[in-house]
Amino acid sequence: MSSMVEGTDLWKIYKLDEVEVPALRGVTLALDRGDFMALTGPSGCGKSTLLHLLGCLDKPTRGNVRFEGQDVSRLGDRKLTQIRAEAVGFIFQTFHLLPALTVRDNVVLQLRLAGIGRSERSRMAEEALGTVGLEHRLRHRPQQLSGGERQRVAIARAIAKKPKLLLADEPTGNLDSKMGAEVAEILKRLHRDGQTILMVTHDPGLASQAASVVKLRDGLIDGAKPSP
Amino acid sequence: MFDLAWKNMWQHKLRTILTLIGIAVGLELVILLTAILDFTERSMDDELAKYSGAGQFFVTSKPLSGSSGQEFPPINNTLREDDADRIVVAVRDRVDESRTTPVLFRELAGPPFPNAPSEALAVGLHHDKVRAFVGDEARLDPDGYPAGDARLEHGLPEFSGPEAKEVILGDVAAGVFDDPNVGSQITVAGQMLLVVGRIRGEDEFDRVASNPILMPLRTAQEIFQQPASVSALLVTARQPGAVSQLAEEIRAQVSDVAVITEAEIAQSLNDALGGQRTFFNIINWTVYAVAAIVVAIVMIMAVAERTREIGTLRAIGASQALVLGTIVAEAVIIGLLGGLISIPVAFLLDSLVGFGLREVVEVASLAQVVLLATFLSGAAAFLPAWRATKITPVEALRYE
Ligand SMILES: Nc1ncnc2c1ncn2[C@@H]1O[C@H](COP(=O)(O)OP(=O)(O)OP(=O)(O)O)[C@@H](O)[C@H]1O
Ligand SMILES: [Mg+2]
Repeated sequence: MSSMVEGTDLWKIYKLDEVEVPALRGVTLALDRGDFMALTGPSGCGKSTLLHLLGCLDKPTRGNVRFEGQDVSRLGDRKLTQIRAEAVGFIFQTFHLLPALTVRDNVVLQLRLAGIGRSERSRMAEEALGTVGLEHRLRHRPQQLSGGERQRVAIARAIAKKPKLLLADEPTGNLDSKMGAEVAEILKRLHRDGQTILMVTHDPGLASQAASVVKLRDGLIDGAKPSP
Repeated sequence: MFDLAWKNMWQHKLRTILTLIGIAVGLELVILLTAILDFTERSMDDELAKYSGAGQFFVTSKPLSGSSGQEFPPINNTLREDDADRIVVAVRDRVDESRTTPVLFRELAGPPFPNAPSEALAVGLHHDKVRAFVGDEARLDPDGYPAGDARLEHGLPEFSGPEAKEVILGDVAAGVFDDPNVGSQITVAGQMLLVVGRIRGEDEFDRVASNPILMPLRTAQEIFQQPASVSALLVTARQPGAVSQLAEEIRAQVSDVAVITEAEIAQSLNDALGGQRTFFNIINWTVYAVAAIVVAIVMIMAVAERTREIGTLRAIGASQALVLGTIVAEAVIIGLLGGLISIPVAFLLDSLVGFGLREVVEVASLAQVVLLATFLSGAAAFLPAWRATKITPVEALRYE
């Protein structure tokens, strides 16, 4: 079975003035189609960085990312943007909804960026919002919603276009346990329906819901040795 | 692109409204100045064309040495009346005597703005030569007559005699005297005069027929206490094409006079107008520059406070072009709205100062102001928009 996305010997080095900060030091990781993987590890170990590389949000300093078999690590901004728009759904810890737009329009905009035809967008947006139980909040602004509701909007936004890969960076980090459990429930349901999911989390409870767990430490998969 | 720009724009309602008002207030000044310039140019052109078309020119005394420029018409010159008569005799066979008359000017109300015609200009002339001054296009002004008045059917009114204490008022001049109807009296320089006619020009740019308070020459000389002199001699050549030749001849035959033809005066008027045009344009472009800078500042602020949102947009698949387009589109909307709002603001201000914008404004000038504001505002947004495209999703998402 071919991987959905695959990172080989990934290095990411940030330059702060003259100091080099290695956030990833040679990570190799593959995510299969239909997998639900949790990425855990202490703060600062490089989880978000890895997620961003696999989601085509950023480019590795060294190493390769293959997305559906295509090497994307040397692609230009335009191509990466297109992959993000069409094939990757993002869920962030702090939701990142657009305050100027209604709940519905937040989702519709993502569908538009994904190249979905005008006539389809409304229907697909409402369907996705129905999936997360927000069909009654279409005309609300993000600011008028609770944290849990906002995160559900963000999930609807991410899944409405039926992305090949769903990435979540601490999706429950800003939610209380009850709302966190709701979000976890939704992710599990999506996984059952065949969605490929990579999720970063601190929360062992949430990690245990995933099909597989990968632990990072100091920019490496736990136990691995840094590549030369 | 425009829908998102529009929604973003109203995220900060107060700031957007203030920006729009600021731009509109500046552009309103541009509209007024442009209208003033257009009006001045058109009315001057009209007036000059009228004299040249009719083969008319003025003869007056030489300006005092050192005095700069020559006015047209020469309202501040003097010429002895007997000199005027001598000139007519000298070139009698080549002038249309029914349209040649000494005229005495006296400005009763100055121009509303620089380089504009006087609003009310007393003109004394031979009592049977009104047409010589106002031209063939002047007609009766229905505002001065009761509705359906039989006199409106007739031609221009006439004075009853060379010393009649009577006036004929142009429509603008009438406004200075509170719009007296024909048959009522007005007071000029302490003298009661009977209004025997109200006239107006062909259009609002026809200042020759709009601004005069016409009266018989003797009456004018008496009330302005200038018994034996006039301002100039208005000459109409029999052949309009022969003006310059006739002017040459008068210069040769009568020493110490200045002959002011349309051709010469057009030049000096244009010079005068050129200065005004430059000055107004400096103001206009300053306003445009300030408006563009205001837009640039507002957009820089908008981009700065929307860094996270822009990063989010990029993360979920918005291209750099879309980010750029959305910022520029927002500025374009601001420029367009500011320009459109400036039009009613200009008319509002105009209704307070009573310049008469409605009559003189040209649709093309309004369109130019709106389009230029829209364009400049979009252009001003390019720097902030370009900076916005440099926002990377990862950086924007890191800062919570
Ligand atoms: N833009 C950057 N410039 C410099 N250093 C960075 C940058 N982004 C990340 N880092 C550093 O790289 C390391 C890994 O960061 P990353 O955000 O991937 O950690 P994380 O595992 O997601 O941590 P957390 O659990 O706190 O979110 C950290 O030491 C961080 O300081
Ligand atoms: Mg992180």
